[in-house]
Parts: sequence; C-alpha cells; structure tokens
Amino acid sequence: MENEYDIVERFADAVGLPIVARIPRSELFARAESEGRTIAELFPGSDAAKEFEKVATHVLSIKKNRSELRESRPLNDEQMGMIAKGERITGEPGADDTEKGTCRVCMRKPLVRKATTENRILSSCATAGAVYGCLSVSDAVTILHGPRSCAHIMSALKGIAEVKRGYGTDLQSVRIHSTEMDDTVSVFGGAGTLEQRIRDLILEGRKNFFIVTSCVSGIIGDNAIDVVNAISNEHPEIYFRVIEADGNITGDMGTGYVASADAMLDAVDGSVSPEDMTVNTIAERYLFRRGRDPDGGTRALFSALGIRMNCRFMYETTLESIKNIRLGKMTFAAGDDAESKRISRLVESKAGISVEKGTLPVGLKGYKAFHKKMGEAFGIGDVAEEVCLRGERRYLSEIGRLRKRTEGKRAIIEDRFTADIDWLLELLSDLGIEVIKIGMGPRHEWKEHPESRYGEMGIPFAENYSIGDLNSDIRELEPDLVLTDSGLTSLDVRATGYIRPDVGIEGVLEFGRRLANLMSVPVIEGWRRYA
Amino acid sequence: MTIYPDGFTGALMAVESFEDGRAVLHGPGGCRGYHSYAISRCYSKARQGDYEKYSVPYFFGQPRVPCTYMDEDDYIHGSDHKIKESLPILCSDGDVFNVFIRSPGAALIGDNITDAIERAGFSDKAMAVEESLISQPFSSGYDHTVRTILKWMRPEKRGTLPGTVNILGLPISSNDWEDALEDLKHLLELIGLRVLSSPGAGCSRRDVSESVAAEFNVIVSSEYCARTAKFYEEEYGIPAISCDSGSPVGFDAVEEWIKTIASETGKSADRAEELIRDRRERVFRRIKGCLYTNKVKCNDFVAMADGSVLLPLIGWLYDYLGMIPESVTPDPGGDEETAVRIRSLLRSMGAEDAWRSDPASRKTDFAFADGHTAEMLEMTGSCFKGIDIGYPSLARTRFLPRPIYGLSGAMYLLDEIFSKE
Repeated sequence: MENEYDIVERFADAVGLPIVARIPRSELFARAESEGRTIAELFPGSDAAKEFEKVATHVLSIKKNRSELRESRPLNDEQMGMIAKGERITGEPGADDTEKGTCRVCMRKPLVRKATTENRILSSCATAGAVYGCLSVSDAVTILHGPRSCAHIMSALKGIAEVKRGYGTDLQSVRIHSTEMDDTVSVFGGAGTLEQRIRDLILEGRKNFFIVTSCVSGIIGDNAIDVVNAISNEHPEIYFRVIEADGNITGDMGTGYVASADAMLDAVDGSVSPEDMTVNTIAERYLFRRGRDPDGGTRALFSALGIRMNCRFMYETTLESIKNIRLGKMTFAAGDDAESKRISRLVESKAGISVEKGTLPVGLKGYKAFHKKMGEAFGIGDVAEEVCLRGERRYLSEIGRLRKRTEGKRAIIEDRFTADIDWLLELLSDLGIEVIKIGMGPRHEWKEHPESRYGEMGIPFAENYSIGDLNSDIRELEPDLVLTDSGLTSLDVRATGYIRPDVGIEGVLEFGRRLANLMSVPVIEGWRRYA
Repeated sequence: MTIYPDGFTGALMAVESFEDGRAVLHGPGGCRGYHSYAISRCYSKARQGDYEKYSVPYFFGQPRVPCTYMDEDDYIHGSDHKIKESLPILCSDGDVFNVFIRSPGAALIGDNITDAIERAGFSDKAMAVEESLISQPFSSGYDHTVRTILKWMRPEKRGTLPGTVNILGLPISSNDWEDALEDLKHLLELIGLRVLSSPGAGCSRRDVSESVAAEFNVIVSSEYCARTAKFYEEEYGIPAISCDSGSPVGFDAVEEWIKTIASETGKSADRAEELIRDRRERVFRRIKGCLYTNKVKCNDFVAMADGSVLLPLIGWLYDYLGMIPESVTPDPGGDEETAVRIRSLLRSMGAEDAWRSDPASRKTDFAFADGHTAEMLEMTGSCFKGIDIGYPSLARTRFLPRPIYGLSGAMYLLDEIFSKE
C-alpha cells in the first residue's frame, strides 16, 4: 500500500505511542505457516524474524521497567477516518466519547458502558420482528438461522395468538423453520446447516424463502448471503431473500419488521397499473384481538363500499399479491406507529405508489372523514354517504345508551407506549367522561409533543410518568377510572387496559361498552382478596 | 407443528422449578418475555405488589427471569459490568438464590460469570450454569441444571432416614405437575414411604438439604433426572428406583411403578393396589352405566411426548381402550433403550409404521402431544381431539387439574378421551 508507513507514523504520532518494529511483507510467512511453525523458528536470521525479536525485546523491557509504558491518546471514529485518508488529524485526540482504561485502537467505535435502564434496554429483537413480518407471506417459508429455542419462542408466541383466536387452517406459526444451530457452530460456523436446511425444503417443493439471521449467526459471522446466493444461482425460479437481522445486534422488533418489508418489496412488479375500486392495506396487526374474525372490521369497511382489497401487505398475503401491489388504486396504512410509517415510506419508494396520509379510521370522526374521501376518490359519493350515515346513527344510538352509566365520571390515562390515543379521547368525550390527567411514560413515541397537544385541549399531562406518580395521582385526584396501556390493572381503583381498537366504529363501541360495564362491576373482584 | 424448545429453555425452567430459585437470563431482552410468561404459566409464584416491588433495573416490573439485556456493545466488549451491577439488586431479595443462564448468543462471548459472582462476594446467593445448553434437548438441559444447582448447594449428609424417598424427574413443564406430585406422594404414603423432597419440582433450598437423608430416589421421567439420580448415588449413596414400564402414566404403569418401588424398598403395595383397583372399577361403572358412551375402541391416535411417557401411554391406550397408534414421535432426549422398546411395542400391535411418521399426514381421532401442538392439530383438522400431555398450552388458563402422571393423570386422560365429541 502506498505511503503505508506514513499512515502508521501519523497514527502513532496522533495517539502518542512509539513504533517498536516494522515487520515487512514476506513470502516467508506463508512458508512458515505451511510448515506449521513460526518465522523465528524456521527463518531465525530473516528480516522479519529480527523485527519480531525487537518486539520481544521491547515487551521484556517494559515488563522490567514499567515506567517505559506510555498512556495512549485515543482517537474517535472521525479522527481515525482522517488518518486513513492521509490527513493530519484536527482537534484533541480522544474526544469525550471514550472511557479511560480501555483498549481504544482495536475498536470500530468508542466504548460506551451502557447502564441497564428502562430507557435503553431492548426488550425485543430484530430477528423476531423480521420473522413475524415474513410469516405473513403464506406461500413462503421463513428459515430462522439460529438455535432451536429461538424458533421455539417465535413459533410458540405466534401460535398462542392463533390458538386463542381459534381460526384458520393455514397457520403462520407453522411457516417457520429453524436451522437448529448448536454449540458446534462456534467452531465450524453455521453455513453448512443453513445450506442443508434450504436444500431439504427445496426437495419438499417449497418455492419462496426468507432467511432471517439470529444473534448467534451474527456473532460468529456466518455469511448467509453467500450461501443463499449459491443456491439461488442453481434455482433461479425460486425467490430468496436474506434478512441479516442478527438478533438484537441490529435493533429491536420494529427494525426487523421493517427490514422484512424491505425484503418482500423486492418482488414488486413495477409494470403493473392500478385497477379501479381496489385498495391495499399496510401492516394490519391484530395481536390482541379476540374472536375468529379479528380483521372483520377492516374487511367490512371496504366491502360495504364495494371496494376490493388487493394486497394486505404484512398481514396475510402471498408473494404474487405483493408482486401486484400496484394494482391497488389507494393504499392505507393500518396504524400510525413508527414502524407503519417507515413501511409506508418503503412502499412508496420501492413500489412507486403513494400511501394515503390518514390511517384506517378508528372512531366516528375518522370514520366520517374516511367515507368522504372514499366517495370522492372512487366516485361513489352517494354510497359512501349512505354507509357513513348508517354507521353514525348506530354509533350515536349506542353511545347514548352507554352514556347513562359513564357521564360525569373522571379518568386518568396512563399512556406509556401508544402513539395515537385520539380515538380514546374522542370516545371518552362522547361518553361524557372527563380526562383529568394524561401520564406519559418514558418510552412514549409522541405524535406531537404533549404540551402542544394536550395542553391545548385543556388536559393536564405529565412526562416520565411512573407507577409511583400514578399511585400518588390516584390518591390525590380520586379518579373514577384509570386507563392504562401498560397492562397494569391490579390497582385499587376501576382500571382497564387499552389498545387501539378495530377499525371503523364497532371496535370503539366495543371498548365503550367495556368502560360502561366497568362502572357497574365491583372495584375489586373477589379473587383479588386472596393475594 | 410447534418447534420444541432446547436445553436453554430447559435450564431456565429447571432453575425456576425451585421454590426459592430465580433464573437470571444473561442475554438480550428478546429472549426474556416468552420465558418469563411460560415459566409463570408452569409454576406461578405471583404475589400482590410484584409490579411495584420489581420495578427496578434488570426486572422492570416483571418478577420472573430478570435479564442483563445484553446489547451490541456487550457482544463486543463483554458485559462484566452488567453482571457486577445486577448482583446487589438480585441478591437483596430475601432468601431467593439466583442462577445465571446464558442465552445462546451470550454463550459465545465467554463472560466469566462465576468469577464475577465470587469477586462481588455473592457466592452464597448466586451461581451460574457455565455450559451452553443449546445442543442439548429440553429434558437434558433441565436435568443438567438441577444437578448443577444441587452440586452448588452441597447439602451435607448426616445420616439416612429409613422409609424416606425423593421424587426425581417430574418437570414443572408437565401440565399441573403440582397435582401430579400430590398424587404420587399419596401413593408412596400408602406403601409407607415419606417424601422428603422433589428436586426439579417445587423443591426449596431447605428441602434439598433434607434430601440427602433419603433412603431412595424414585424416578418419574428418566429424561429429566438421569444425571441428577447419578449425582445422588455417587455423592450420597442414594440408590434410584426406576420402572421398566416407564413413567406412571395410565393405570397399568401407575400400578407397575408403585409395585416396583414397594418391592425395592421392602414395603407392601396392597393399599396402593386397592386404590388403583377402586379407580378402575369406578371407570368400568361409568363407561357401562352411560347409554351414550362414546365408542373409542379402534380409534387411532398420534402421540408425541418423552419416550418414558410414550411407552406406558401407547401400551395402555392399546390394551385398556383398544386404540391404535397412527403416529408416534418421541421428544428429543430419550434414551435408545426406551426407543427400542417403543418400536418393539408398536411391532407387536402391527403398527410399526407409526414410528416417527408424519403426525399430520391424515386425520386421526386423537392427538396426544404438548398442549400447543395438540390444539393446533385439532384446529387444523389433523385430529378430532387434541389432548395436552406435555409442555402446556400457553394460550389457556385452566383450573381443573390435568396432570398426566398418577391416578389423577389416568382419570384426566380418560376424561379427555371420552369427551371427544
């Protein structure tokens, strides 16, 4: 390499350390290696061996006289980059992002000792997100390149939801396969097991593959892409995509979920043109929905207007459907959480279609706006208006009935995670329930800053709201009701959890009925008295 | 089909099988949630105020399976600092002892947890299972961990109490294991044996210290205790009694199990046999007395479980009810001898093709499997009725006891079989 000594000298100068020896390139290394011996043993008089001797002498010397040891001046990434480019570094070496007493020069990035605090931990991993995303494609198999426990966790969790709903014969939880990595991978790598698993599944007649890597494959450095590329060349008719999620190394569940969307969208056929009366949806999720028809509200929303659902991207779909996603004339994201937004942007950039600004509606206000929009977009204004009026009448009638039990009640909302609680505030207002405080958890993904949002609405809010804060507010404010998205419902007060309900008005009404019932049932159920 | 867990999950489950044991997951948070949930389902230790008490780092509101939340930096630089930071928090919780289990990823890093525990001065309240267990089956990981904990506790033997036993090989992953334990204890009491402890099934540190005084160990499912039994034998001279017919599943095997123990310990099995006869007569009267009793004779079934459970179960269903196996698959971890005996049994029934055949290849009357697989096979139409005989389904909360071992286990199986339609 040109000027390599200059670069090393600049580096040594920058970190304040001496150059002890200059070991030359030499074919003697290869010859010694082939003999299974060291340069010093086989070629003791060579230049390279003499340089190694200098290193040994230096080590012995500093061992005897530790005052010869020097303190290094560590560099940050930017400064390392400058040296690599042959530039003199600027600024003080070792700018504030490193910690004393650790090795600096062998790391790609400065060492930051992270404390374990709730704000910083990842309670999920990118592999799980990628696997769950890929499982939505019914004509593909998802291979988790990792240990069996890892696949067990993911198939079991997916399966629990399926069993609880009790629907379907084509289960997503059985689309997952594992390479069943074991301890031998740390010696031999896992590429062989991955290749074998893929070939076995091809022999079974499987056509489309998503391969998701785990933290184990990430740590040992398996090159899953090379393995899959080699097989892909043999089977050009099969769709392969590798998602290097690497457990939690690349991020959390959301990161992996979005990465799986990216991998799927490679299948899109850019030549397809939109069809009238057709829509796509993005990232529908019904994780906690009960019953055999969790997505019934979504389907009803469109079928009532005579509109066909084309690709239900990331929910339950096929690779063929993703390929033809451009058939949809309009595309709606189901939610406005961070992942849905990122996936929407991906859909726009990779499929070349635009995603509607609003999400699928939840609550009356959104329901009305949605129907107005659909009426205009598809030229079905009369039908949309009639459907909407029918829904509105039903909503108002039911709310009127429920309000008898809820009017005048006061509620605290503990909002730790949920990005959008507009539907909840609208429902509470319609039910005549006053929101006396909104406590926002430290991991909250704000739609807008709460001050501009809830302050303007006249609702007091608190940031970094803890369980202690909530208990204190319950004592001081004496609410009739606590609504929480943290699942904490064992308080000595009427409390219930909430999640974003089914789209349209039915989901909101169902939740409204729950709130009305909550006002009538005992504050503490009998079973809780036996703690 | 459900992908069965490996020794990593087995190890976490084994630690939490101790009444005062706590599994600490040294790994990323992604591995925690499921295990915390599954372990709580198998052995609930929930207390009022848990959320408030455990709203501290490493727990974050969840009392079960605290976690070091390893991240990218830890994979590169090691996570000694997190172990050090967590120990005072973990070890300040009463008499609980903590056992660090490495996640598969963390096992590749090589943090020396034992050394960190010793340096921090918590060797009496914390330990680590240093081995990676992902290469081992669930049951072996369970067994290995129970034995490792016993070795760490180093109970001191002061003598032997005649007429006492320990129950080994009853995993908490077995559905309603607490009811099974009571059932088996009762049978043992009927033959004059007192149970001192049940390592691996709700046993406390104190129970372990008493366990070394037992005259015998009695084995329920050998997959979960072979190494633990050997440890007791080698270190404390306590012989283990196992039964040739496998685990006490179904009337025949329960009878064989208790008679073998009675014979080995020099006791009379008369009172236990009387109870078993009483239960058999009750079943006879119930079946004969019901006009619309379902006909189960010639019904076929799928069976997926530990080999020690499959062996007696298949034989009992065939002999007692006239049912025929269509597919039989042992869970990983069984010994070869049991596998040979199952195959031999299948041959004798003319059902040798059932060995490891696809459980979903055609619709059967019953599927005996772990709870989740049983439910999925039923849901997808691969069987008329799925019956939970292993790792329980996490999708259900049930209250009526449904153990598979002992007499109550036999009654549960019959109840499920005869309520097929």
